[in-house]
Amino acid sequence: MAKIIANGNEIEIRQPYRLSDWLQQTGWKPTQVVVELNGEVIPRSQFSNVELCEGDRLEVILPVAGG
Amino acid sequence: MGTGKFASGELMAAALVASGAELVTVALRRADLTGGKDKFANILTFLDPKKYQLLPNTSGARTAEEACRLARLGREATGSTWLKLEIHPDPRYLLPDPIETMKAAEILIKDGFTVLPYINADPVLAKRLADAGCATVMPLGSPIGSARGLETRASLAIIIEQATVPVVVDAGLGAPSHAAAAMEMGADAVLVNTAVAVASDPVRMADAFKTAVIAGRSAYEIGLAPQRQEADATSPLTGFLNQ
Repeated sequence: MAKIIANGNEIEIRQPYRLSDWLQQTGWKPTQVVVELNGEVIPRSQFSNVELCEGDRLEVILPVAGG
Repeated sequence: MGTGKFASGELMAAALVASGAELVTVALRRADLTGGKDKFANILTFLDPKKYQLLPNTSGARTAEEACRLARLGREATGSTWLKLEIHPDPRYLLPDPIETMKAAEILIKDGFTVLPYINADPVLAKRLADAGCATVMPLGSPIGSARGLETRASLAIIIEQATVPVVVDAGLGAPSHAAAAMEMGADAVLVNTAVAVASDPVRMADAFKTAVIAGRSAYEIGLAPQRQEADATSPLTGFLNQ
């Protein structure tokens, strides 16, 4: 198991865990969200190539209404 | 047009059509990861990218660094390199920070963004941002959501007079007459959100703003009658009554 921080909350994940698989488990499709991993924006095309590691900080962001 | 504060995505979409808007702002927020239904689910569902130029904003940023981070997320989320750069550290008045905005603009322009900065109505800052390569300047009429109209009118006039890029009057426009007044002064566009979104009939209000913008632009192009201190009669001053 590894601990990561996702949107400010600490969660435990089993390893290995690909970003694309983890995202699917949260209910979001890769086309709906944008992901920042340790401060770097991850292009959608790379989601299935990224392995989540102990201490990773994830931000999962979506576009919403705003002025 | 902004997309915030509408009662539903469908109502927002209908108001956008009625407004005739070409540029549409969106914001960013954290996704709900608990698997529950997110009532703010992706706004892009309601926005046809073929019909609108999307303008992700950096709302929530308090520093240049935060704004740059949001800008890159917004570009990835929307596919748009156009950006409404807004940095307001104070939640009470939401007034933009000129120093952080200037810093962020310089970085983001180098990074390939088309930067549309939200600023106070400061003619010197507007000129500096235009010289740095911003695509527009977007000075406020009054604080965001305040509906007080063109409180910065005198400074807006200087910004418009000196402008080398389009001027978009953003924020505080509470009535179609405010939008018309901005356009009569020579503004190139207005950015409206709250006044339409919170109206009892947002679609009709959007249409009212559209009409006002068209009227104001026509009046600017034609030229307004000069103002005078004294009256200038429109009817003949009939002389025979005194004879």
